[in-house]
Amino acid sequence: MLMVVTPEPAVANPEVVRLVALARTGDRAAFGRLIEDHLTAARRVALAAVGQPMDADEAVQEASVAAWTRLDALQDPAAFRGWFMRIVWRKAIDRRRSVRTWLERFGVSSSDDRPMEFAAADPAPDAVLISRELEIAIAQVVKALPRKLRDPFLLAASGDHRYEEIATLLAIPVGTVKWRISEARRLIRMKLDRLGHGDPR
Amino acid sequence: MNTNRDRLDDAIDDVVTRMVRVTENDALATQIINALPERVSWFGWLFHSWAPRLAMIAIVVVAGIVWGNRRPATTPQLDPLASTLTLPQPVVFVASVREAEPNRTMPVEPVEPVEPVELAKVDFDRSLAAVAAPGDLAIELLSPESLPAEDALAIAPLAIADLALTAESFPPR
Repeated sequence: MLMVVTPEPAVANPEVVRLVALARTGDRAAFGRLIEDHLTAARRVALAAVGQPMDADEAVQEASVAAWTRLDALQDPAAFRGWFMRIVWRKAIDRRRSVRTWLERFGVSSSDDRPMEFAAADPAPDAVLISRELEIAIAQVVKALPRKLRDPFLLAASGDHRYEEIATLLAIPVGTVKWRISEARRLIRMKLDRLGHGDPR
Repeated sequence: MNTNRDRLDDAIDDVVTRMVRVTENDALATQIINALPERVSWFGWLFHSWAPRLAMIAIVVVAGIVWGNRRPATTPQLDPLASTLTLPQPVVFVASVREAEPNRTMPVEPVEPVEPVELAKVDFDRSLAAVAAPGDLAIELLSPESLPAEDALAIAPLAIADLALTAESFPPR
């Protein structure tokens, strides 16, 4: 089953607090350290929203600039990670909406219809061996999920966030997050059954 | 839950995890840092950007120009337009008006209120006398024999009596 990791709660990390304090004085190197430490998680968050790595990276860049200019608005420096992830998520959602609007305006298929890029299968020996056909079918079914279900499901799949953090990102209760993830999995399985993939070899 | 179902769950988790997996991009962090603008204070935007400064200067200049060009609130004196129509000189018709002393305002006498005319209360019997119908014009028939042979034709002028529309002809109220 999908594992939702439980990273350490947002305790006052002295290094983060120090870097935030330096960044507030205009220290670019300190802010760069903060961004580097959270870059992978931020790119995953953006990728869960937009589905395209290039769009995700641009959203992260916009979010980083926004965080840099609004750093004074961060009340608790120890909460930099959650604060930064919320900015990344909002920028990614804005990008998803603008891309969809632009595509619909010019009669192109919406962004949800674009193929979702994902990494190649893990070559590790203990990796799940699944056929390419099933792999594509799963990706298509996940992409076809309603965004309300797909967003928490993909955020949970990133393995970087607790349910509470996902709830904060999506501005919904934790119980709703858990239900939506469970419902997303149920729908995926049901659709895969209909497509004849209920019994993978 | 049977084994097949568990394998399907594993397959879903594997694919979904790869859907949000990102490849290493070391250049992105450097690219982000290089794209950062200058950090400014709360009101720093007013002094660190040329556009707000230019706007403030423009506002001050425009306000100065408007203040310098302001005029006192006086009624403009316009010369009367010349007219080609020749009008007779006005006649002083009120002889009782006293000449005003210099720099003295004449008291305004109360004006007699104008009573509204109601047709139902009009006294036609005491109105103006009806204008008498003019007498018939006596036109004598002329025959060619009655006309003088050589003298010029002469027509007696018509005598029309003046209508009795004088101040005395109005009946007293």
